[in-house]
Amino acid sequence: MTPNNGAPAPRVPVRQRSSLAVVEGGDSGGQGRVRLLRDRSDLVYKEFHDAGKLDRGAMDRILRLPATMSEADRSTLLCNTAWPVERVDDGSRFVGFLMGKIPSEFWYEDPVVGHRLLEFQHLMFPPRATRKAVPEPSTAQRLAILRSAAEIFAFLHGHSFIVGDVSMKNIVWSLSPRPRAFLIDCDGCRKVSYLPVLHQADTPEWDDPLRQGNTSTEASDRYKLALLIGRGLNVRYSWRPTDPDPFGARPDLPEKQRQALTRLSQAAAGPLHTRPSAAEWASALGDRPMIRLSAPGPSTNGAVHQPTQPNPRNPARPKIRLRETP
Amino acid sequence: MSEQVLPFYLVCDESGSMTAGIDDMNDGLGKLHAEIANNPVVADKTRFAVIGFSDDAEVLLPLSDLADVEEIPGLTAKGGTCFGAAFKRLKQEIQKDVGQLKADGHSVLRPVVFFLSDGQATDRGWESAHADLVSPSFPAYPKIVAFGLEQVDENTIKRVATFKAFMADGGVSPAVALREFASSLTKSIVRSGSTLAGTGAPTLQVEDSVPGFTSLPLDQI
Repeated sequence: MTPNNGAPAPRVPVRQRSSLAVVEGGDSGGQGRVRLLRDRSDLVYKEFHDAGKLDRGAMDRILRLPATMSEADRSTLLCNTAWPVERVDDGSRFVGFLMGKIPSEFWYEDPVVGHRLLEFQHLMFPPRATRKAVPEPSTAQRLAILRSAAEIFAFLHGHSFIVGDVSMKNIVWSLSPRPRAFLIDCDGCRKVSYLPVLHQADTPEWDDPLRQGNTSTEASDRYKLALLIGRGLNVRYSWRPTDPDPFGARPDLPEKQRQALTRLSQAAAGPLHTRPSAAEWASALGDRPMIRLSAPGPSTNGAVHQPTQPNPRNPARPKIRLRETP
Repeated sequence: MSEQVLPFYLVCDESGSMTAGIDDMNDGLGKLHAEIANNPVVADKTRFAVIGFSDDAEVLLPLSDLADVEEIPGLTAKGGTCFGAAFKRLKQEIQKDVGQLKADGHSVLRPVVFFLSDGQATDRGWESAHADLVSPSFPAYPKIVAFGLEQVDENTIKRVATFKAFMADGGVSPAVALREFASSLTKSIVRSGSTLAGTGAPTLQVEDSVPGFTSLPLDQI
């Protein structure tokens, strides 16, 4: 969390574009091009197509996050996301950033087209003979991958960050050494109450039907996480939480778990304040027995952020007993 | 099953003059297939067919979901350059395919044709077959992106095209030009299948420039 004790904000690491040993080529996306560096095998450089539209303050808030965290949280962040680590300027102009390279476990090798990311889209369509190089997770592995995705969302929400542009391509997965997810394109994240680095429309078919305004919120993250989980677990890209019997396609799930996931889906299909938190999804996807305590808590849909999980920097306050019970 | 699909047709000249580059074209088709098969959202939203033409026209790959296809018959260079046979066959295929896709519950976006030829038409009357294909009286009339190589007349390519036209500029060998053509077709399918309208419908994307080719302005009517 941002220090609130009057200490100065951590320094933002900045590198000049001219100092980078950039390898030409790279993959071009909608907002920028990701390039390798000749002298750093652990980092890649993303250069934005249109530097004139960038919000430098938003990138600086992303870059300051690791320095404000405990060692354990920083490790969690960097092990589970391709989080930006240095801003890149061309003179005084912000043009891009360095981020960790996506670890090799999240790639597969196609005999014709070579190295490809194990994007979440591969979890959302049935296996095909022509995609032999893509491993097919078991139900238990799917649950573990999706739980890991929900935990990443819960972690970022707990640190007052919104994921933003959630889609079948912005999160990748692996089976080995253990089933897990990894968040990429983290420059789409934004700190609660602040604008993102670059305005982003929802990816079509990943839209939040109740989204208000142009900016993603924790409530829209919660809805899109439901899409990620429902589509990944049902292996059906068109899945929506409004579908009747949303987990009916998974009779192989333990009945109590199926019921818990169905309850969360139905809540995700309702008004903003009923949308389940990422932590609730993570819990339902786990292998522990479920204890139903209450209806899902309200989600936020505006500038005010309510953490969805205990924050180690702001532990729950002790209860004050006001009167003795007989 | 996807609600909305965008059909792509590759209509490729197999006349004898294509001999030098036909292997590169077949190699490009293999890469196109792998690229789309490895991109499930794109495969779900697009369909792909190959029609080869020389003295007549032959459907080498009926309109297919490329994720289901394990082999594509290769193009082979032979015979003349009958545009008319290609356009007639293409119209028949589009009519049949659109009907089938609709019967399967899809809504079908206007088909896209990538047309490639390296020589002048050897048949007469091809213009009327082309007019039948692109006439608004044919409800499923396609958008045509036309590429010309070697001997083909620039005006012929402009006449065939209804969306964009490109002419090889002679700066690269025909083999390289064919690889760039195949790469451009692949990018167009991947980007169209990924660039969805708000409704989730794929939206046609074609590069403005293709290495080795000059973009031709289409006449306005």
